[in-house]
Amino acid sequence: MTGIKKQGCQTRWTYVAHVLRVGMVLLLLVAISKDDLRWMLECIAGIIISTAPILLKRFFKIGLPGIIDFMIAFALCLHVGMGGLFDVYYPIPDFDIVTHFVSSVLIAFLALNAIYLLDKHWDGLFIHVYAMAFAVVVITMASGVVWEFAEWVAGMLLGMDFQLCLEDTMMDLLVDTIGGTAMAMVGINLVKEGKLHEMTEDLGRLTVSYINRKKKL
Amino acid sequence: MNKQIPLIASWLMKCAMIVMGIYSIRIHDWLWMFASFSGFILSMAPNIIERRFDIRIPLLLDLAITLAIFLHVGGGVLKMYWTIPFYDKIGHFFTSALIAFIALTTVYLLDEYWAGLHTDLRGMVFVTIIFTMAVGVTWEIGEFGMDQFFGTHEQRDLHDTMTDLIVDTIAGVIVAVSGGYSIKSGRFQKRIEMIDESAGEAIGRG
Repeated sequence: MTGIKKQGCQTRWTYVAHVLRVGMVLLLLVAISKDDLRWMLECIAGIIISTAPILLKRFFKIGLPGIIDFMIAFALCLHVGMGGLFDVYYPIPDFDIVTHFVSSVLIAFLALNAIYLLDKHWDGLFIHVYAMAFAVVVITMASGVVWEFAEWVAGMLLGMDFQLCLEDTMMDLLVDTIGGTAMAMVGINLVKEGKLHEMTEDLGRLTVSYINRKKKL
Repeated sequence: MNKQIPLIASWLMKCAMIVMGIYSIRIHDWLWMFASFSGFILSMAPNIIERRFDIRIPLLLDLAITLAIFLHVGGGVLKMYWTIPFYDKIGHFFTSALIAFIALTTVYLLDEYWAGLHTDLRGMVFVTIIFTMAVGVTWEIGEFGMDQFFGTHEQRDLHDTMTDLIVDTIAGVIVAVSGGYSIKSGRFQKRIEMIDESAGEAIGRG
């Protein structure tokens, strides 16, 4: 019974992710009709990245948790769709706070999954729940910095202004920190209630087989 | 006699911070008065930890912590941040390296003595780098908050802030990687022997 229920939950998130992907294809058409090269490229990149979970499932038999699938598609769709099509980034500069928050929650969740799986299945790491939450926050903050580095370098090379100003960058970093902290708090509950264990069953099997293969080599 | 020199130097710097605090009161520089006195309290942290938790901290580490805080306070009170070029970059590098070293030591000790953490060397190095970057972010957010609420100009511009973060990252990587190698070869354990023994006892008691 629970198996069916979980399956249903999984497909629901995956279904929404599919809708978002189709939406992005439509956005690509709009971008083509507008002759907007930059957003065309971003749309194509968004579509390719958001199909990664499907490809993983098809070719490597790795079922990502439905919620991760959804979050990846949602973050990309927000960035590509709202930012590209409706040009929200320029009239509403605070819009990138929303996208930063969503993507930092996603990164925090991915980090949480990775640490959890390593903790469960790898003998090289054993970590207390709270230390795990700490690591998640710190990783999210650092990836915010890496993102800003990338924007900065890309801005210098291409002569474009991605970072707008100091205040904007600092708000980005602050929002990343808040997103990571929020996810870490949710994550503590997920781990304690065993929900994360249910979500990552497929990935867990994969990790075990990977680690066993490494051991044999 | 040799052991006395770092101790004297450390106390001299602590006293100098109080003197700078009083000087800041005289010139009505309230921000740096606050920084001087809180810097003094912070530089007492090793002594407090020694008293409170019975963890013996090597004199050189105590000296390095005091020196980092002293450089920051001195740079602010005597306006060296604004007159000496690259002063803040050097400060950032030194402080980040110090924080990375403290982080690596902490992770190493927790790994060894706390039941809640067992990790291999790569995990330690990774956490050290990431933690140093996160501290850099916290520092910049702190400066940003100060600028917003008190109208100061601690952050000059975007370029300056980004190079600060890069310097922090580089310092973290250098210390974490070289620390990783020295853990592997066993030199690290020798260096922190003193903290190691007393921390083991302290955690064991707890």
